[in-house]
Amino acid sequence: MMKRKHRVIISLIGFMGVIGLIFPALSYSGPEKVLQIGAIFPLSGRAATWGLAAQKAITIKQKEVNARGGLNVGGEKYKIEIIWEDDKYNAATGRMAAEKLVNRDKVKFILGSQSSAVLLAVQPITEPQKILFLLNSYAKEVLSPDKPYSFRMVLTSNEILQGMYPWAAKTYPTLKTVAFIEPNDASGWSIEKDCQRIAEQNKFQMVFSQFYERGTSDFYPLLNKLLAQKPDFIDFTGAAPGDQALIVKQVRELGYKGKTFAGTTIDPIQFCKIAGLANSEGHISNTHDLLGAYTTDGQRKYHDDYIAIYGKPFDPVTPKYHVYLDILLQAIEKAGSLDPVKVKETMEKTENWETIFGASKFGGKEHYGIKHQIITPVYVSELVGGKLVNRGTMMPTLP
Amino acid sequence: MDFAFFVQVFINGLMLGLTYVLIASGFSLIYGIMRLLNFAHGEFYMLGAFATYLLSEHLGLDYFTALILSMIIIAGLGMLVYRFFFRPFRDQHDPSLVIALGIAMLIGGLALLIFGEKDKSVSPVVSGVIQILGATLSVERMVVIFSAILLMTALTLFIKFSKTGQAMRAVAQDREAAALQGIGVDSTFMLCMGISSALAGAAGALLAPLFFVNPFLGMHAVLKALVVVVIGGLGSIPGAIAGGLLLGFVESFGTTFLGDITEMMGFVMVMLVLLFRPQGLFGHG
Repeated sequence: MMKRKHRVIISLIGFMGVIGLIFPALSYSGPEKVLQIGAIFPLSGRAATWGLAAQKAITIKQKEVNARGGLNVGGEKYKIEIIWEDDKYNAATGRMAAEKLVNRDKVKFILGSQSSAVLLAVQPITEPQKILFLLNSYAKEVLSPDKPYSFRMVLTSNEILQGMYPWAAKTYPTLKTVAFIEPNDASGWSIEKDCQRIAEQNKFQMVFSQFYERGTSDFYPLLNKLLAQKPDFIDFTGAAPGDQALIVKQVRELGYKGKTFAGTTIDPIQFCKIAGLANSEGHISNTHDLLGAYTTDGQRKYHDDYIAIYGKPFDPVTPKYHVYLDILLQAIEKAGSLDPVKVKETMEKTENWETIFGASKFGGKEHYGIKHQIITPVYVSELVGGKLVNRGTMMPTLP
Repeated sequence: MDFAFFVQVFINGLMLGLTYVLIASGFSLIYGIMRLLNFAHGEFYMLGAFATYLLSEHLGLDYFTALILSMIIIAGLGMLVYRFFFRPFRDQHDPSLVIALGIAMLIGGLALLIFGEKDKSVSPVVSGVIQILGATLSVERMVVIFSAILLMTALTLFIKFSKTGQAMRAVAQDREAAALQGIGVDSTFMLCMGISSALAGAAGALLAPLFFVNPFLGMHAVLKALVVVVIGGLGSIPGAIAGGLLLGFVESFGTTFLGDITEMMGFVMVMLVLLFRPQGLFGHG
């Protein structure tokens, strides 16, 4: 009895084994092709907020493409694999990561850091080897005619403020004077220059400008000096999100009644929690509520994809980083090739790109000397009762 | 410059200085007794802020209970770190330094992994502002100022008059002679680590509602603490108080009158102290 039972079990196991061997063999169609793309971002350290936001947005695009069977390159399907490297917001670490990606992993495409120092250290590796480098940083010098394989995929303060300052001048005609607070590093200096130039173009008078060291948490001494100049609004576009909230909190404690303004994205929940609800009222930023007005279908889909993968709450800092992988993959499909030279040429020739923000393009020939700066719409919103209220959108004009 | 403006700058300096005192006093205490530059001290400060955040914002405890519990938790953690990491390398200067740096990196990395990179905030305990001689100060900051003064007074009295405090001073002066007198050097070190960590935890807990909480607070804090204790004198609590207040006033007046270059002033002061009084303002040669 027992023997028969054993025989039945063994037969069943054998049958299942055969089925297990046959079915994968039937569906097998050669090794799956994989396109490896390098990504160097600050995934730890003080700038991790931005790096991890970029990682989320890029992963959403990667999952979307892989879910539909992969990327179509000249009739062949490729699964997308991202090799993540942490630059720790440090130039030497970023350079080592780039060396590894290029020489060991043999990637042809790299999505790049938010740190100007990292980018400037990585470009001498990517440019001579014709590695397509899609990057982000507010520093002007990361784009230039002698860096033909570098494309900036996120708007800088130059483009954002060219949209926001005219809006501020039109919406609040009583605003005449402005004060700037920026971090004391390459990004801060570059942003401060943009701020001054664009404020002047829009007839705002600068009455104060000072840099602060990153890591500062007590802004009272600086704000005390600033308030003596009685600015109508304060712009701290280059400050980290937490610093922005602290500046708002402390300047309100010191009795400031004017407007606060930053050409960057914020997380409204986090911002109001740190700054205080009442203090945050009316704060102007480059953040966009994807469930509010002026929103495209692509943005709504991105919102839903984000919630499906990461759950609530939605992080409004992430959407701008979606463009990185989105445009690269569109360009590879259009070029029908994985050759970075051909992909680069496609990116240069194509006039319009459909992104989650709607129609986008590359520009900046006059300002940067090369037409490698992405131009997507600029958004402006205000915090009202702790919630983002979209006030408008405009396409920056970049010659 | 009118009088109210001057008072504002002065009060800003006092507040900033007391913040530094809070962070630096524990750092200095450890060096004074254990001869250890504990670079993980800043991470204990960060963990104190996170403990308060978790206890008050997630477990719903009132702020002051959260503060006391945070101090106890961080003190316990400090003692564990001493037992398992510093004790095996006692009296070995270089390995201890490397271990301290390693622990700092480990705690910072774990905090980033567990709490995430985003800034968190602790709800303010009190709100509103008060006017002092025309200067504005938030009530929140007043609470920190009084708490810092209270903590520093308690620490000074404890070290000066309590039996345990006297034992700690004896160990600091000559640990072999102290051991011959029956003072447990190891238990004194353990206690010293506990008190120092509790102070770091208290600083984190007190400053959490004022600023924000994130895993990166530690490194900036320990750098400031290092500047303060070098100026005041390594191992001297009065030195940490004087150094912290001095740095606070220099930064406040410097930011007002000199602008961006003020951040360098702390390091310039360190260089001057090292050149002309290497033992620091209150240190012993």
